[in-house]
Amino acid sequence: MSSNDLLKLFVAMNKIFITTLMVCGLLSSTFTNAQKFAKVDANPVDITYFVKGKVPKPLVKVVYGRPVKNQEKVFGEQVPYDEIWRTGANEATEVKFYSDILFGSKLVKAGTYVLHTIPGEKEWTIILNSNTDTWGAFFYDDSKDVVRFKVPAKQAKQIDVFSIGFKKSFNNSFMVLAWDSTRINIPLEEGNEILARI
Amino acid sequence: MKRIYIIAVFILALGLSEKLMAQDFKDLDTSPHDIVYFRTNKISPPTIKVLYGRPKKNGREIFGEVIPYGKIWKVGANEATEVVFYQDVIFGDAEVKAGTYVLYAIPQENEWILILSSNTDVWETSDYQKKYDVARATAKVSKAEFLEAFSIGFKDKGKHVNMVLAWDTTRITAPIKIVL
Repeated sequence: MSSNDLLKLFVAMNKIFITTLMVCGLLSSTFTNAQKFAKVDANPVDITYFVKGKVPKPLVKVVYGRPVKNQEKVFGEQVPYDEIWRTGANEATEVKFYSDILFGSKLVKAGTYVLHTIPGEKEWTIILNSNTDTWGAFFYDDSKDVVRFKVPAKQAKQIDVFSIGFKKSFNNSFMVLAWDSTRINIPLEEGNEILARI
Repeated sequence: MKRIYIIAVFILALGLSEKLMAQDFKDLDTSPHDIVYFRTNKISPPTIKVLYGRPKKNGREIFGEVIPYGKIWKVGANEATEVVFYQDVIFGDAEVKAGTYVLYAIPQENEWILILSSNTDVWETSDYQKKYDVARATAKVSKAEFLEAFSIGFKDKGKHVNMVLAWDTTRITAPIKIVL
């Protein structure tokens, strides 16, 4: 092979190299241009409203992730006792009060809060925290607590999907956290009702 | 005979009260809600949040058929789509104050109209009332790869952020400027 041939080979190799680089560059740019969207979550977000009578606006709104039972027992296994729980899945559970309210007999100003709980065998700790738009309970900061109180754990029929609902019995309203055979009833009272009592 | 009747009524009443006491919770939605945030970086507080229902295509012709052109659409499924701006923004040509809004759209073949409404916590497209309009923006229509579930995402463009509505092979892009 003459030095001329070597030079030709070198030029040809370079051309191939540059073309490969260009193709790679093009490919990667189409990759970065194609926008990724989140897949539909296996533990989807759901919204539940508490509306009293036919009033146009709700009193309470809850936005929460709904995990599915995947172990023999939810509380004490899938969700450990005595540890802070995001009370749902993924993004921290968000509670919005449209007016001042008594939540577990504590006065809470209208606004948006994150709901955390500490599940226990006999009783749960319920926490409202003002540090909103967080993921899970990983960013929990107790200095941002708005209220903290305990509620007894009750039993009812087994359900697979974590659910938050509202119920009225006699003159009392409750926010109900429900999963597996556990039910946590958090008493609620509207601002108007508080005024009526004074 | 009378005694049997009374017992029967008693048992029936017991059964009924049992029914009333047992609280029903709704099943998981087939078009579940989802939350998407826009943050300027991973650790900063969010700038924009969208809470929206995610219907699926299920082999249907979406735009122009299931969702007709030229009519208001609530951009998702179930509860109307909610947008939270944590800072003032410019949406279309209008300055929009930080706050919570409902997002509506008027799909069209070549460009869409997006509408922000201040009448929040609504469900039906028929809840839309023009008097609550806060801003309107036109949005570009383009094509991309197929998506089964309706999706909303953000794309950081440096000086502004694109909010992208994506379903099937359709993409709707609306620029949002953050007012600093």
